[in-house]
Amino acid sequence: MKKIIKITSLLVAILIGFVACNEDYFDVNTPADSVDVDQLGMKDLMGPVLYNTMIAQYSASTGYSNYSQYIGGYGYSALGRSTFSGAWNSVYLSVLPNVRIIKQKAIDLNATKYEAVAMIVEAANMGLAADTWDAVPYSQAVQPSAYPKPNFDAQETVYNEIFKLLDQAIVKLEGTDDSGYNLGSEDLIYGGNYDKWLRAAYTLKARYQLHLLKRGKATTADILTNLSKGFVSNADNFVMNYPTDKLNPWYQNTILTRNTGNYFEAPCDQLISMMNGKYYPFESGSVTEDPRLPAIFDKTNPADPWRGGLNGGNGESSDGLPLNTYFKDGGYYTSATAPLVMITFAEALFIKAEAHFLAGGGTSTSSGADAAAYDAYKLGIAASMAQFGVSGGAYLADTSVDVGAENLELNHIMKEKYIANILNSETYNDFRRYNFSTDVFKGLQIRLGAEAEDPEFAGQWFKRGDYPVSERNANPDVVAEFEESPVTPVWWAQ
Amino acid sequence: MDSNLLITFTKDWSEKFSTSLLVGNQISDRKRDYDRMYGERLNIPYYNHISNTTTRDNFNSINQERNVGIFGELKLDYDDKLFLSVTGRNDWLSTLPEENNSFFYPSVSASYVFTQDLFKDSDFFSFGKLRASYAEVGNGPGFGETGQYIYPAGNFPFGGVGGYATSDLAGNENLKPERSKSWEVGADLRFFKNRLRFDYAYYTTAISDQIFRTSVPYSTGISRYVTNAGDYETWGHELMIAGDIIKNDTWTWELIYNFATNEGEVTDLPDDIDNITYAQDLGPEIFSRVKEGDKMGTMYGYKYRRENDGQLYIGADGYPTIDTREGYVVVGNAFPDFVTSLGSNLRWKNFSFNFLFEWKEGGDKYDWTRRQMLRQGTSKATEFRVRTADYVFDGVMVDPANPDNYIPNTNPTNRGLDEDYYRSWSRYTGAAEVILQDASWVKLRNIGVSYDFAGLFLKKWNITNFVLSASANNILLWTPYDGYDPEGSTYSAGSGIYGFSGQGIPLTENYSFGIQIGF
Repeated sequence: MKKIIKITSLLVAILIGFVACNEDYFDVNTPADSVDVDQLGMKDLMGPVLYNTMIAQYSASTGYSNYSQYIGGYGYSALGRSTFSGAWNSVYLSVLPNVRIIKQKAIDLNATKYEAVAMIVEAANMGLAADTWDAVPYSQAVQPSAYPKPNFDAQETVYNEIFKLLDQAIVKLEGTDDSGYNLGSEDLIYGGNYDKWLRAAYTLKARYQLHLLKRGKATTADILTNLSKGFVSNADNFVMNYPTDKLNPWYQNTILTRNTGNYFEAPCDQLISMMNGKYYPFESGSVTEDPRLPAIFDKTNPADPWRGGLNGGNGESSDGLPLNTYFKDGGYYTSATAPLVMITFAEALFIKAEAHFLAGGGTSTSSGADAAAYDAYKLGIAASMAQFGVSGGAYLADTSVDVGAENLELNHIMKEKYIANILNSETYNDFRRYNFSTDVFKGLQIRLGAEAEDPEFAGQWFKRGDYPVSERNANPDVVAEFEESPVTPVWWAQ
Repeated sequence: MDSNLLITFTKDWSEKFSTSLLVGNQISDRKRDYDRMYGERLNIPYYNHISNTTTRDNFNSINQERNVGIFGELKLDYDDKLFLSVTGRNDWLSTLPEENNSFFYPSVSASYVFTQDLFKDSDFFSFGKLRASYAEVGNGPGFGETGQYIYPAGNFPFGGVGGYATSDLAGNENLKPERSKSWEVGADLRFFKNRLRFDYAYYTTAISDQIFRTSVPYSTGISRYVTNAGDYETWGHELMIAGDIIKNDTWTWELIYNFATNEGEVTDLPDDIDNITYAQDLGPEIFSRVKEGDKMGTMYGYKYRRENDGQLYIGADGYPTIDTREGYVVVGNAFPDFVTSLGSNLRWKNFSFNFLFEWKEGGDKYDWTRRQMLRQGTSKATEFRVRTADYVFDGVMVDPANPDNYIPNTNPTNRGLDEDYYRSWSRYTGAAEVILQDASWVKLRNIGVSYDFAGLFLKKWNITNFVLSASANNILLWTPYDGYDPEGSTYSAGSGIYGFSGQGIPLTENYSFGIQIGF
């Protein structure tokens, strides 16, 4: 008996000893589908970074586009105050941590042009963040160990950093890079073409400088200088096309959701009235509607006029009849493989037109501009027509559009920019730059408020996003310090 | 794979004193291999096979947890009246960082059957036992919760391009095991030949270094951080009184009464963690959340702004408004004050009849369904509407003559009391007074009758047992709560999250009839 006990005890001791001493035995806590950061190349992170950059734009635009009255829920339902949390999550959880890893790897490998692209992407994301929430985390962002509760930077500070990033990127892209590392198919925007990235950097810089005109932090001359090195054709458009095995999210939330009886987005009266001759009646007789209308939208009865819903109404359009216009299945923005758009050649031309218009002394109510402004205006329309794949000849020749340089007004330029930039988040920036002026945006009316969630802000334009609840919860002191009413303009619009 | 090795040594040292020693080793190795294949867009309609899809997505993950423990237990028994048990266990866990993956925890318990010495052979005091115990337990995190990993990115491959992205979950790389230390004292007393029985226990548990997924600002690049986040204590009383009121050959009637309390308090949180949020609903902004010093079960949110001893403040627009000036404040507690029940088992010959009443007092709850109904105007609470703009709320307003003073409100609403009011977060659904309710209840948990055909015709048919029964569960409910059954919960029982309901299937009433035959 004693012997058996002894032997058993020995066996137990051996087993325990074997298991407990072998530390590798416990080294099974790493998920099988995870990889180590050292195993990854820059190219492995760039695809998702670009994808999530475009998703951030899309996500912000689902809200911005309601404020700018491109769309409403079912074509009419107005958005109340919003946190734009989807965009915040994309920027801070998906894009920035990975951009930082790419940048570090690029520095280690001396891959200067790859680093430049990462910088442009970072600038575009911070531009979206600063434009949405004013002060946002940047200098202390995405460093969880050093800054578990990041402080926010003023919008002006973030803008300075954006320009620094773009300027450095421009220097790197104009210089030489003999590291041997190049962008390839992971570049979902330009397929690895650094020249296009360089022109994108200049064009984005012009866009951000335009925001700062009111503050005097940039001049029209700065903008025009940058645009001279910016986009040269629609082939430069900063867009991400959807592959056939994925579904464009606009397609999902306009076409698929409508087909399946779910909440969907549809165009508002303000947009349709800009395009169907209501605000700008066609004069030639040969044009009855903007040729882009049928490229983007569809109506329930082809014989009826186009009608969008009044924002915040109950489904009626401005002529009193029910709305009948929806996004088109297979339309420019709403096919399964449609692009998501950051910034286009057409927008660059409208920025140019506006800069020349203002440089020549133009105001929100003045009439007449120089040939440079007028040429850019018409080229912008032509570029937009080409982008949407329609023939714009008759439209461009109609005297309601071809008003002549001596009659050009700011609202003509902004109308065309508004149409060219459908669903683009930049339009909301234009609205805020001009404080929702009806001189600049013809026919613009505040949402009606039939479905208003929060009557506290009835009759007031929302001018910024609220900080997301995730941030308010976990970083309450900093949020409290920077929080403003959603009807208070952001710094550059003040 | 589980392996257990137990060795027991027993020795009776004398007639009265015996010991037993148990030593053991346990190895558990759990590996879960998840494979998922997802396909959409069918080539041929209604032909449901993965090969018939045009877009496919697959996923594989493998979780493995290894746990090695050695333990021992020594039991001493003296004369069937003094008992002592001492245990010790050491565990090694693969889910903890290597340097912290070993931890030891002991327990000791003692009891004394004092009726062996006092009240010996007393008919009145038939049994009495006092007991006390102390136990420690250690716990580790789940799989892969320490450090931060990089995974294949969502929505990738995208058009043939692959990609990886950082996870938004991260965990402390120096995570320590969570420890709990509990004390319990109790007594088991029985009188009149066990016909009247009392059992009482008081317990207190202190949990330190709780492993928790803390919320971090998303601007850090992560959304959740697993770390040792603080200490808390819970304590409570449990009392059971049972009696055989009648006990003879034709009649037995037993009554059982239970009473229990449980409360807790957060004693310490790390300095950089403001709160621990167990659950939240961002619609009305209601949180199950604790800060240092809070009672467990605390709910946070917004209340109506009140002035002058709790009178509703009415703004210049004529409406009440939630008070956001101080941020989220404590608006309730989801833990009940007590839970008590009374059960009865009555038998007359072959008939038996039983029922159980339960009463939960206190405990606040937010019902998601009710909020939807308030916002859609289908709740009776939104029945009162005034279409004209002249409705005047009861409350106080700022005195126009003296802005520091409040006077009875005379500001009429500027839109009336319509659906917009009931849909408004800042005027109505955001106020905890509106959406958080007292979920106290009294319910008839169970009632049932049965008849046992023992001895009637059974022998002839070779049947040992034949019982017919009928019972009903959950059929009567008394509660001030507006909504489905206040006992329903959005989160499962094991989650430890209370105070949310309305997003699950409500508890069912059920009726059952049974025939039980034994051969």
